[in-house]
Amino acid sequence: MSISLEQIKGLAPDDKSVAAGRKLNAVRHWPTLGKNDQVLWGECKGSALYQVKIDLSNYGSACSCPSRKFPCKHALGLLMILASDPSSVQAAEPPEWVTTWLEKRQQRQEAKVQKAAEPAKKAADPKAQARRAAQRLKRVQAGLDQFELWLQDLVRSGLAQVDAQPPSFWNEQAKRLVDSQAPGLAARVESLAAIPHASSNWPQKLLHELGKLQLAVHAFRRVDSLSPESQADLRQLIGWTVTKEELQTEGIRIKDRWKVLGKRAEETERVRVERLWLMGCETGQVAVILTFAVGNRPFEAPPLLLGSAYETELLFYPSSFPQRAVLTEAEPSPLKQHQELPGYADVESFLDAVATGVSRQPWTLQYAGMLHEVTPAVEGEQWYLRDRQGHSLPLAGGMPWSWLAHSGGQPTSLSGEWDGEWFYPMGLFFNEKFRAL
Amino acid sequence: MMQPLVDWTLAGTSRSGGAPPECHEADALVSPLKAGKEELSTPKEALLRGAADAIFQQAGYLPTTKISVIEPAPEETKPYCPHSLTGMLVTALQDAEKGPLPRFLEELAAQGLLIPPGFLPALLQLKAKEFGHILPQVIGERGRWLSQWVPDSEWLRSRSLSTEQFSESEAKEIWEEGTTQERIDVLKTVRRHQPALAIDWLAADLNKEKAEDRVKLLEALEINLSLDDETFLQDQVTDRSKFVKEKAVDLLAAIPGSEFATLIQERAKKLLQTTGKKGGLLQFECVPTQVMAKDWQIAGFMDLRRRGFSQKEVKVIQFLRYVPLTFWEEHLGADPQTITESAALLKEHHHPLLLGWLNAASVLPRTREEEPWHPALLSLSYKILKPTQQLPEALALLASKLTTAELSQAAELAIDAPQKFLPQLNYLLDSLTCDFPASYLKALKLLLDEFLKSNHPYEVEEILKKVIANCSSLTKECLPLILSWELQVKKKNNWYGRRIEEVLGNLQDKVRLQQRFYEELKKATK
Repeated sequence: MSISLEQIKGLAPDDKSVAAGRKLNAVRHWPTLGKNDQVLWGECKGSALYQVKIDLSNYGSACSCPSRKFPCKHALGLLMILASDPSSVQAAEPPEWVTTWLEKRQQRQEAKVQKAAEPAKKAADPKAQARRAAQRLKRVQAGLDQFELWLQDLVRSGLAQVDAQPPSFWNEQAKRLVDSQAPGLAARVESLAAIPHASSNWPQKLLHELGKLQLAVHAFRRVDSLSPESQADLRQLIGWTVTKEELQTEGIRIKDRWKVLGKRAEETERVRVERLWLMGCETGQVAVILTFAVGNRPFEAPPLLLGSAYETELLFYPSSFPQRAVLTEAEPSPLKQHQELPGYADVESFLDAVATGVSRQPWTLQYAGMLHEVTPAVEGEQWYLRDRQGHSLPLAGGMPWSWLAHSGGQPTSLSGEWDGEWFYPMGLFFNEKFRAL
Repeated sequence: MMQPLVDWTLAGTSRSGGAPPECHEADALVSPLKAGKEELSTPKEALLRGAADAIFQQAGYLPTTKISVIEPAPEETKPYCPHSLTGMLVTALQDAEKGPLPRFLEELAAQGLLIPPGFLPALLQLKAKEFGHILPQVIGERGRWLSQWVPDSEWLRSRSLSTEQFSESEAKEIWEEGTTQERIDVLKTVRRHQPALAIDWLAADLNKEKAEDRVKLLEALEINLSLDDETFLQDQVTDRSKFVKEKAVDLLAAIPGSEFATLIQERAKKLLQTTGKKGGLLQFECVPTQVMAKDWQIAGFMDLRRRGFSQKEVKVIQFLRYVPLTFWEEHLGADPQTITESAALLKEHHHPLLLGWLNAASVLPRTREEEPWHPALLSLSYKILKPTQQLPEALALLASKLTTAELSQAAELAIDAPQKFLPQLNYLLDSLTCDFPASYLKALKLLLDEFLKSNHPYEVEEILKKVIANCSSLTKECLPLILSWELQVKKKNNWYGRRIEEVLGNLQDKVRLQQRFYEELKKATK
């Protein structure tokens, strides 16, 4: 299976690594280059001679350089050589350092599978754990009481007053929620700072967001009367993390042929989030794999190629509208020549799926999917995606250059993220090919 | 429907008073809560109504239905370039200096291949100045269609005539409806096929154009210039624009046997006269004229001043500008080298003499007969001009007219010149628009080694960067030569040494890329 430069970009931990890898996309940096059906390898001349090896079955890589980024610039550069000029890498017998790596890699994979099959260890002290949980619940409840007062005070004195408030106005409240061990709500409050004056209808948007936060507080007071899935949704919204053990026992396992629709990254004050979206070819289930990075640290995203399909199992976080998931297999291999395309036939069916999601989990911020048979359309400066029925959704980010260029205005399948207001294109599927947008 | 509630919360419940205003169906989501045991405070009720409205709007989002379809791009008539080349195109496109990209595009155009659509967004951002000649040929129907959304991109949709089959009606259509650039291009084509037709068109339309465009349109007459154009050009000498006048006079001077050329040459005979011979060289004198006959006072001959030159000397430069170089061989009875070497011995006026000749070489259309003049003028320039100011100006004047072989000679002259320093060579490199000849590169390599020996790594780096910038003009024959370059600096393990190694490596990467591109293109088009 060949890899494109766009897919390599999709594997990179950040843009800097892509740029650095690009510089190494020249054979003069590589005194040794070779490949066979299973592995690609090379020695890169840097401040030392680094040995780079890439497993071609799933593009897992290793390099002898000290970089903490993964894949490192050397691995990206080697992949770029393979993608841009495959003839410069000759077939050869792998040297010992490559075969040794492959063997160890195989052993590690087997050990992981074995470990996963073992039953989870029991908690060290269930009583202490229960005591800590009760303490946290108490603290959160107290925090929510105070937060509700703040929300209502805001409405009592008028939303117009936030006009003059500095960002610290929101941050201070967010800090109080963090202190009350409700970091999930804290992040939502921090994001409110961007609403005032960002658009003409900002008062309505602010009221909507504040209202949803009030709804969360209101719902949490009667959390015990809700379904286990809604309870899980509320707990995750407020900031309880789902432990690995909980995920293993309460999570939902779905096996499917998962098509990678694309990814989007977002930066908040504290953390950067990358959302990798997948859709099941058989189930039509949409999944998002989240990766977090703090400061300038790179993302450690799962090694999935954009636009490829993987026959594997995803473990979904418990929810009444499950979207967030993790891979159960560390490095699945992409399916060869897989042309199935999951998705929605038109805008209406996509919006129906969104409506189902909203009704089950009203705090969901993003939905994603692939819409078939859509064309770019424009009115004034605003671009849209338009289906055959003439239904259109507004596109974020100006003119969709790449989509226009590839499609020539003909219908294509387009994947993207929807936030209730804008559709953010992520990928284009046409003529059995994928293009990241 | 939501607006009353939004206005109400903006003002604040304490000011607005009463219960939150009724909204719409979303209120139904809040009503059961009010009916329950829990008492809802007014702010809380307003917030929950806000939440209900948010959910209601999101779940019931209605797509826009009034957006019309855009007309899809027409089908392509030419094939796309093969997949094996696309990786290399990406590399060339991502290159900040855009190195070999123009050459790649030219090669594709020559093979009748188009750029795949994925490259169009990046290509359409390129500048008309550098890529205007080639982009319209490789972007295809898809590119032209896409360019309707690119600001100031009319040039991308420019129409051009087929070079193989000339159609007068098609040409006329472009002449009547095309953009300025399209009209200039079509005029040049017409000039190649039916020179008189171009004159007819210009005679009818020229005075409707802007002065700047009039000059460009007149330039098209350089193609197949003949005595048939004389009357039309004489009319243009009275144009209101100084630049149009100058252009018309330049063209008249270039027509052998034209009234103006004959007049100028008669006058020129009196300007330079031989007085004898000595040691194989000519002895001649330069007799500038102070007073100009009134009927000569046409464009370019009036009120010119030039710093460092007397009025007489300015006249010399002006006269010589309009005299074909080959005239002097006949008049003085010697070859160009003898004439220029003799001129170097003149006690006065040798500088205006040289500048006049250089102007003639640069302004008048080039002829095969005058080629021996170019190395002779270069040699004279190195001998008598000040290296810091005058020499660069002379080289700049001449370099645009030089062939690749002459540029090689120029480079070798630069090395042989008494002052081995950068400006000359830099000027040549700057002016270099044609292909790098192999001999020129050899000369360049000599110079690089020379700089390294005298420990001037900065100059070496600058020259290498120039070659990188001109990478697109490297001919196929030059590529192996550059790959064989190994500068002795590699042995110097200092910062400059490493830096130069890096720049040379960068140049060699580009050269390798070009080599692979040509190989793959050859394979693909077999």
